[in-house]
This record gives sequence, C-alpha cells and structure tokens, in this order.
Amino acid sequence: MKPSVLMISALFCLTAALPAQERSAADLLPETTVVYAEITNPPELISTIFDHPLRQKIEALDQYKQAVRTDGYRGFLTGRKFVEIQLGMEWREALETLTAKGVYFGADKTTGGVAVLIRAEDSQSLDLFLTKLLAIIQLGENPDRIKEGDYRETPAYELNKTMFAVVDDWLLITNKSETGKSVLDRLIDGSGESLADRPNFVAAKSARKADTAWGFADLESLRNAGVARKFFVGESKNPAVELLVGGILDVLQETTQATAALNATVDGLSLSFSVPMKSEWVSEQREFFFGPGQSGVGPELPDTVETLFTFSAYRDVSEMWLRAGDLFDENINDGLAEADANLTTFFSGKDFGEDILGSLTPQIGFIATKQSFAGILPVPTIKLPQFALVMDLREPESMTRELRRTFQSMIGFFNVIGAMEGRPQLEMDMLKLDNGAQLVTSTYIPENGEEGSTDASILFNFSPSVGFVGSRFVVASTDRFAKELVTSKTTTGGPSANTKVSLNAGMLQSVLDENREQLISQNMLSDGNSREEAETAIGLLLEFVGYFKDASINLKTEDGQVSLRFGIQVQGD
Amino acid sequence: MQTNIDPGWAWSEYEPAGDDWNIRTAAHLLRRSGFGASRQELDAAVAAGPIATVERLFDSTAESAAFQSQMRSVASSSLATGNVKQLSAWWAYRMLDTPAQLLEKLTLFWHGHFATSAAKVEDAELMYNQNVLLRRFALGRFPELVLQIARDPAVLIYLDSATNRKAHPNENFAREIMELFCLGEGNYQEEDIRELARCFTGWEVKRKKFRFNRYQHDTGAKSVLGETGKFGGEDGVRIVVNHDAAPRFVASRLVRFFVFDEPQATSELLLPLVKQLEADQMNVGPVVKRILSSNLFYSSQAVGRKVKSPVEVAIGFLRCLEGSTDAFRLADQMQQLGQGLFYPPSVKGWDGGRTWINSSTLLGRSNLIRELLESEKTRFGKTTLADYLKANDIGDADRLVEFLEELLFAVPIPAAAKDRIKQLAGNMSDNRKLVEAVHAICSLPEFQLA
Repeated sequence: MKPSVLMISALFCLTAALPAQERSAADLLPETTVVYAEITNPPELISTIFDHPLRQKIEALDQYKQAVRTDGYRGFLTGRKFVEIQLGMEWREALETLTAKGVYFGADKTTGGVAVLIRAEDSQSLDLFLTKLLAIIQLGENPDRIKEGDYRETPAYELNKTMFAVVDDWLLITNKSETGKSVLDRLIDGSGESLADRPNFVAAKSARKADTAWGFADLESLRNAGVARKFFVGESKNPAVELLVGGILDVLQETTQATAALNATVDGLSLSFSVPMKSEWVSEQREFFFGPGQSGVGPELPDTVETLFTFSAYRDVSEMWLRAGDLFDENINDGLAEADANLTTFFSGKDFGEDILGSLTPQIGFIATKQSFAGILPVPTIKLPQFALVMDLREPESMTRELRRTFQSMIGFFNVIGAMEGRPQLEMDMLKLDNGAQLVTSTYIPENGEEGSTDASILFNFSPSVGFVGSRFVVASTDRFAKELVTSKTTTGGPSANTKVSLNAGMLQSVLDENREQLISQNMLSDGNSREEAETAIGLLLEFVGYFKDASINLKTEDGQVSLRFGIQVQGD
Repeated sequence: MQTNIDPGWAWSEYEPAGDDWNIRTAAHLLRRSGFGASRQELDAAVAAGPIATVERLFDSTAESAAFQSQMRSVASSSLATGNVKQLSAWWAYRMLDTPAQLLEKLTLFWHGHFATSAAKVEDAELMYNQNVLLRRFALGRFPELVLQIARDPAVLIYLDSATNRKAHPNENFAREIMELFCLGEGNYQEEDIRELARCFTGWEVKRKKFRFNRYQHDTGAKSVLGETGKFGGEDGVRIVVNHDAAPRFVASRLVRFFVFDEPQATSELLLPLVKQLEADQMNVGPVVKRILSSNLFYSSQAVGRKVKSPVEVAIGFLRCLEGSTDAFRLADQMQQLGQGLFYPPSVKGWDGGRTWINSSTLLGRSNLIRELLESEKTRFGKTTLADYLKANDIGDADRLVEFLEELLFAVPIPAAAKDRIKQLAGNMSDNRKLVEAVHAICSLPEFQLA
C-alpha cells in the first residue's frame, strides 16, 4: 500500500476513532440534534458571577442578611456542607472541577430526548464525584430509588426517570434511553455521524466568537415538527406587535437556523440572536419593516439632557397602515377603518394613511427624559418623564402648516371635552425661535388659588406641544421638551441599526426616586405593608435599579443576517 | 320579642356578674363597635373591663399624629391618580390599620346613611373630602353633620343639586334630606318638600366647591314643617333636624346598626335614647356610648342578631387574625359582595341585615375568605398562617377551633361542625390543611352572624 494511502487511512482511523476525551460535544451528539448549546468555560462564568463587585453590595443588604437567616436557607447550607465534606472540597471548587471543560446541551429530533454533557477536569475527578453522589443517595430516605444497569459494559444509572453515565471525563445526563444510547455509542466507539458533520452547524460554529455561551437551533426541523408553533405562525394580530416585530415574523417562517450567543463579563450581560435572511422571505406587506433591500435604518436622535429612554427605528408607518387589510384580521381592520375615517376628518379631509402618515419619512424616533419642575408651578404629585416623537417630514414647507392647524384643532377639541368633564383648560401659544424653529405649545391653566400648588393633578405633567425645524417634526408631551428637541444638535456617526432601544438605569432610578412617596403608598396598599416595610421595599427596588447602568436592544440586518441583541450593563465598583 | 324589653333596663349600664365579662363578650363589643379585634386586644379588653374598654373606644387621641400623617400621605398618592378605586383601597387599608375603630365604623355608618356614590360623582377628591368630613363629625352633633353634608359638593352632585335655581328648585335634594337623612317617611308633607326646596335655591357647586349664588336664591317666605319665614338653606336644615321625628329617626338607625337588624326597635324602646338626644343637642357620641354600655347590647337579644356586612366579613376576618393583604383586591372583593367603599348602590345606602345574604353572596363570602387565605400577599401577624398560629400557641386542632371561635364567632359553632374542622386540620403540620380548615370554619352559616 502506498505510504500516502497508509497515512490517510491512519489519519482516518485516528479521527474516526478518537478516544472520548479528545472529542467535542458536537462529535458526541446525534446528527439529528436540532437544538445545541454550550458553555465552554463554566469556571470563568462562575467567577464572573460570584466574584463580581456587585456581590459584596448585595450581601451587605439587610434583606440579604435576613434571607440567609431563614430556616430554608440554613437547611440548604447544611445540605451543601454535607456534600462538601463528602467530596472533600468546597462547593465552588467542586462545581468548577466538575464542569472545567464545559457544559453542553442537545435536543435530538429522532429520539425525542435531550442530553446534557458535562466535561470534568479529568476522569478521576468525575469518578470521585459519581462515587460520592451515589453514596449520598444511598444515605437518603429511599436508597433504592437509584437503579443501576449498564450499556455495552458501561455502568449507567437511573434516578427519577433521568439517566446518567460516565465515560472518561464525560458525564452524560439524559431523559430518554435512546438518546443516551446514541451518545454513548459515540463516546464508546469514538466514531459515528454526529452534529459535527452537519455543514450548516460547522459553518455557524466557525463564526462563533469568544462568547461565554453559544447556541444553535435548526429552525427548519423545529418548524416542520410543529414545535413552538406560535413562534412561527407569522401573524401578529396586533398593530403594536406588528410595528415592533412584524418583519421578524416573516423571516422566522422561512429561515433555516438560528444562533445565539451569551456574553457575561464584569461590565454586564449581552444576548444575541442571529438568523439568515433573504429578501424574498419578506412579504410585500411587510416591506414597511426592513425597507427596500432590507437596508432601512432608524434615525440618529437629537442630543437630550437626562435621557431616560430612546427608541429609533425604520418603519414605514404609512405603508403599514395602507397594508392593514393584509396584515390584520377583520376586527382590527374594522377598528382601523373607523380610526382612519375619524382621523381623515380631523386632518381636514386628507387621507390619514396616504397623505398624513405618507408625509413622514420612515425613520421614527421616540425619546423620554426626566422632567424638571424647577421654577415651574403647579407641580404635580406624581412626576412623570416627558417624552416625544421625533420624525422627519418629506415636504416640510407644505406639511408644517397642515400639521400646525391640526394640532390647534386637537387642542380645541381637548378643551371642549375637558370643560364637560371639569378638567383644566389648555392655553395655546406660538413661538418662533432664532434658529427658525416654530413651536405651537399648550399648557394647562390651574384653578384660581391653585397656581402655587406642589401637589397638583397628574395632568400638570403635560403641556402638549409640536415643533418644526427644517424637516424635523416633533410631537412632545411638554413645551420645554419640544423646545429642547428643535434646538438641539444630533451627534452622528453612531452604529446604524434597523431598530435601537436604550434605557438609562441611572435616570430610571432618579425618576423613581422622585416619586418615592407615591411608590411607598402604592406598596402599602398593594402589599398590605406598613409604612416601614414599604419604605424598605422601595428602598431595595431603587438600590437594585442602581446596580445597572443601562439596557439596550439592537436589531440589525447585514451580510444576509438579521441579528437581535439584548444588552445590560451593570455598575462596577 | 321586643314587647318584653323594658326600655329602662335595656339602656341601663351593663354590669357583668362573675366572669360574664370575658373573651366572647369583649369580642362582641369590639366586633360591633369596630371591625373585630386580635387576641391581644381582646385580652387587654378583658383585663380592663367593659367600662374602660368602652371609654377607650372614644379616645380621640387613639390615632397618633404619625398615623394620621401616613394616612393623609397615602390618600394624597391615591388622589394624585384621580382614580376612586385607589381611594377605596386606601379606606380598606385604613379600616384594617386604624386604632380608632369606633370612629371608622361610624364613618362607614354615615357613609351608608348619607349615601353618595362615586359612580355618579366621578371625582376622587370630592369623595375623599366627604369621607374626611364624615369622620370629623361622626361622633359629634347630628345637626352640624347634616349641615356640613348638605353643603358637601359630592352630595349636591349626587342628588342633582349642583345647580339649584329659584325658577326650578331641586325637590329631590329636599326630599332626601327629610326622608333619608333626618326624618324618615310619613313625617312631612309634599308641600314641605316644595317649600324646603325653595330654601336651598342658590346652593350650587362651582369648580368643585360649595357656593351660594344669591341671584338664584328665592328670598320669599317659606313654610316648612310648621314654621314660616324667609328661610335660607341653613334655616331649612335647622328646621328639619329640630323636628320631633329626627331624634327617633337617628336613634332607630343607630340601634339597628349597633344592636340588632330586626325587628325594628319600637318607639317605646327607643324613648330613653330619643330623650337623651333631645336633651343633648342631638349629640351622637354619648348615645353611642350608652348603647355600647347597655344591658340590651350584651343580651341575647343583640349578640349574634346581626348579619355581617361584606366589610365586616372581610376586614373583620383579617383584623382578628392580625392580617394584611392587597388592599386593592380587598376593596374589589367587598364591592363584588355588594358593599363597594364609596359606591353605595343608591341614595338609600345599603339595606343591610338579611339582604346581605342569598345563595350567591354566601358562596361569594366563602370565596372571598379562600382568596384571602390563598393570596401570596396575605400575611397574618406579618408571617404565614401556620407561623402565626404557632406563635399564638395553637398547636392542635382543638385549640385552633377554640381560638377561631372566640375571635370570629358571635354564636357557638355546632359540635358536628367543630369535629369536621378538626378533621380537616389534621395534625396542623400541613399548611394546605390549615387553610382548608380555616376556610371551612369561615364558610359556616354561624360565621355570617355578628
């Protein structure tokens, strides 16, 4: 035989019959695995969680100290200590040793079972762990509940319908014996077709970054098997849901696979999902979501002070409104038709969907900031953030007058209804600013004698206003915010995305703190707490919110992929 | 029944013999004069004796400044939302927590007497202001209370008297003042209604405040209940409350509320109380004190002779077991049983008595108790039911039944029912069984009696 053939054969034998400790989890799971997940470095994750600076802060809380003094927790500690003595090491060291080389999960389509593979530091550690675990169970109230057997001379055990076995440094746990046998065959034989042989899995895995955890799902197989039917149904049944995720629903109906990546660091946590996308998968009625060529991006938002929340998205709302007949059921369409008729009247006969919504570009922004009441009276008891929609007009010259008139009509309408219901009236004003911006504002007029109140109605959070500058059109809950938005600059150059959402936790804490008294009162009523208990509960809530910096959501389309990323950043020291 | 009651004996001070003054008599007093009492409160009442216990009920300093401030703060937060349901929750919380139980019970009484529903008024601030007004005058002089109520914006709106013009005097308002608030049916003529309505012309509500519009007031002479003059609204109220029928009407209502639901107290039985009211400028507090200290109040004619209202069932159950829960849900549940705080069903308020009970409400009451027991937000003595019972040395089923009977029942529980409860409770180690046992005991017909 030629040396090259010999070498190739030897190589084949080597790779085809690798010992268990040299194989990856993907080599051990069946080829028909439809869901896969891995944490390749659990000790690092454990360290991130348990060595995090926040841990000390949490442990210093009175509530934590109380919680660890309860009988239940003490019982847990006693049990844990017992196990530590049996293992001869502390729980954390035990956990890190047991999972040193990773934890892996697979769900198999053919056998219908799930398998968890845990790879220990070495086979000796794992053998010790198994021996001790069996000994602990034997000491329990019902030592016979663990059944022993073997498969191909490999000892296997069953406890409460869960099966487990050990081969070298691999611990296999499964809920179906067929799944277990399938994995054990590969563990024992060192060969066999596996998940690692699937081209799409290999391609997806190759794109994996140094994430804390990673996952893969064969969506096509899951869809065909009828798993999670609601996820793939493609209908939203709700205009708000359609606006938020409509395009994604189309993609999910067709896409073949999904990957997920979790990153946990001392700075925070992020979770990303990614699915392949093709233009033809997005239906005509949902083009409003991603835009032509799926390249729509949300607007850059104006810079604001004390920003609490931002939402920036590409959504052709006019297109969605006009396509409502294709997107929603009869009930919703009846409602939308009625709304359309009323709004058309409101807008002096202009078609609401086509003329009014159509006058806006498909970039929508929503901003909320903490509202300052300094120098303003009356001050409401409940202090809400101020918020605004920020849009661009396609034809500002013609639409500005139209929208201004409509706003004036709307305020008049509110005043008529308000008078009938005994509410304060709105007083209008118009301003032209130095930068050419126009503002149309309205403010609630307090009753005589209540102008200086610091305990006013919730209505006094609002002074509905609109602003125009260039093509920018702003609808704001307060006149001050409208003015801020038509005079502020926009910092450009940030990463673009179809949808971007951000929440500033520090500002959220500040807003909640400003309403602390109301939160305490609500807590007293809703939980039956005393004043002291409610103060403690709300204090804890505010403390907890203060542990975070911000939260974000990003939806992007690029390189034939749709990616959705959730992120939370925490405070450091 | 009543024909045998000597009025002199009925309203004389109760002087218990031997151990007649015990946990059960104290529980009867605190159940009727408030919303029930915990074991500790009952023990303190037994130790103090009936006279001192009744005196404490009238202690105007029972609520500390801190408590009052807290209640105002919570009310303020509720008002800030503009939602009356929030206010209902606030009042339920107050009923549970206030040490001034008699004052709160009387506030509820007057709320039903001067019935004003938020369903029509639709203004949380006005309803709250009325509630504060009722509490302020609850134990005071009835004429003053009527005058304040007659000018209360919530009442005026409810009785369609937000504007009252001389061209079209509001007779509805005048009728309700005489018929429902002060005199009862048969003590006035239709002409009196028309003339009294003229007195109130010019009384109106503007920007949520009472206002006298002199341009709309009929300044002519009126004849009301035998008196003639150029009367205004204040005069009209004075004339009505000074009518002979007023003290009897008030006494009758108080006796029905505190002593027994039926039959209606006779004029003869009420006479001592009527005379007291007449002599004391219709001062309600002393009459209530006399009722709560009387022989009749502690007799078999009174004990267990009332049907608990939904508020007494719900608040009473919690209060007796030092309970706390979601006040929003509690207020909601009471409304479902027919007694929504700030939502009396009509100008007549709540009929009470047997009308509280039918097959539907009986089931509803049982469900309310179950929901309270199973709610995650319900605590007893700031802890779980099991731990609360343990802390009170309730270690076995016998002790459990005895404990609950003393706190929650005006009449003895039948032996067969006790046996069943004990079986349900088992060895008291299973919290689920405890809940079943407590629920079963509170589903007994005897539990509905106060």
